[in-house]
Amino acid sequence: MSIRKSDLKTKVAAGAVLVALSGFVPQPFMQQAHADTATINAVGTFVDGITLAGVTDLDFGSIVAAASTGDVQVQPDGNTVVNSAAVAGTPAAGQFQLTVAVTGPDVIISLTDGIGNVAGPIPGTITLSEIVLDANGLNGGAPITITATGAPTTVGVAALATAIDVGGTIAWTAGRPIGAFTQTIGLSVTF
Amino acid sequence: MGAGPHKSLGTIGKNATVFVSVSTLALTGLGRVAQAVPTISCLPGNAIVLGQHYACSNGSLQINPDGSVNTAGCLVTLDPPEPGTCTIRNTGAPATQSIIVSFPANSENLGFGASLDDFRMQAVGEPMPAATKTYTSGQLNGTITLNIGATLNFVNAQPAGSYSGDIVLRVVFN
Repeated sequence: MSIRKSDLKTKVAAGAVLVALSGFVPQPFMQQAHADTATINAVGTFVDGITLAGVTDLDFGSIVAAASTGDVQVQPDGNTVVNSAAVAGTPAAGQFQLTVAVTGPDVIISLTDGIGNVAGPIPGTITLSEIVLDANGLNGGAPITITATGAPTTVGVAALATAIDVGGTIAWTAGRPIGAFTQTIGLSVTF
Repeated sequence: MGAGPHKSLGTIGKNATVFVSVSTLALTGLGRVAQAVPTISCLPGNAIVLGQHYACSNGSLQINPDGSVNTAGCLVTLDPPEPGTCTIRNTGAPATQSIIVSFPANSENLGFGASLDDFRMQAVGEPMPAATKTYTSGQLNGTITLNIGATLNFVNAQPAGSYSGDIVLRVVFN
């Protein structure tokens, strides 16, 4: 009997310990922080605000000089003004196509290339002295005359798509050779 | 002698029953705490809309949770931005506990010089947006919708294309 009594105490004591442990189990969990996360996506688009493309070359035609110096002007509408020369062929104005994302802000126009000596057999004998841009809705419809590369001109643009006609003036000096002359006209348009 | 051992075994069985019963209560209580935590969700249809733009200089576009915007720099906006929304559901948490909502990250790189930062949240009726909000469980009883804003940083002539990023929100219940 004494042996059984001893066994009973041992088992009761063991049970009490287990109960006490069970009572502590939830406490650490109740003190812990619980967290949840979620992800929200953000999406948007950037566009090219301005696109500019060369559509038609500016063509001064075939010029027969009648004096040692002179010039030929091709206007944006295609008409020509000739000094001391005769023009054959089919002179024609050039054209840029401008598209803008929005018509509110003004745009800044400048030449990146074009004014100055024209490449040819004898450089320095023929120069491109001015570029004239003209388009409905650009600069209020008034022509823009540019005589220097890099000089910015700020103008309004009224349409999302604008065809800009391009005119210009070339002049020659004594010693100009016979041959073909070409020059690249670079135009920059930014907001 | 035959009745002795039988009686002794019966006593041991009674002790074992008490232990099992308490353990069951403990587990039941543990389960109740786990079910009480708040949850947060952000549905795809409620994403932050950054809008459509042309960047004509370096700058930033702050999209506030209330829908207002602040622009720094030259930005031509074609489609306006909109804040996003996330929802916190709080069911059964004790009223004395605090709930902290925050953004674990400070920024998100969108690529090509664009990024998002200055994340903010604001529930309807709250006076100011903030990057972290602390509520009592009583304040967030049920469901609350948080409007989410951020600042879009861009560079001059930001390359054309679609830009997307993820912002993580975390809700912690202490």
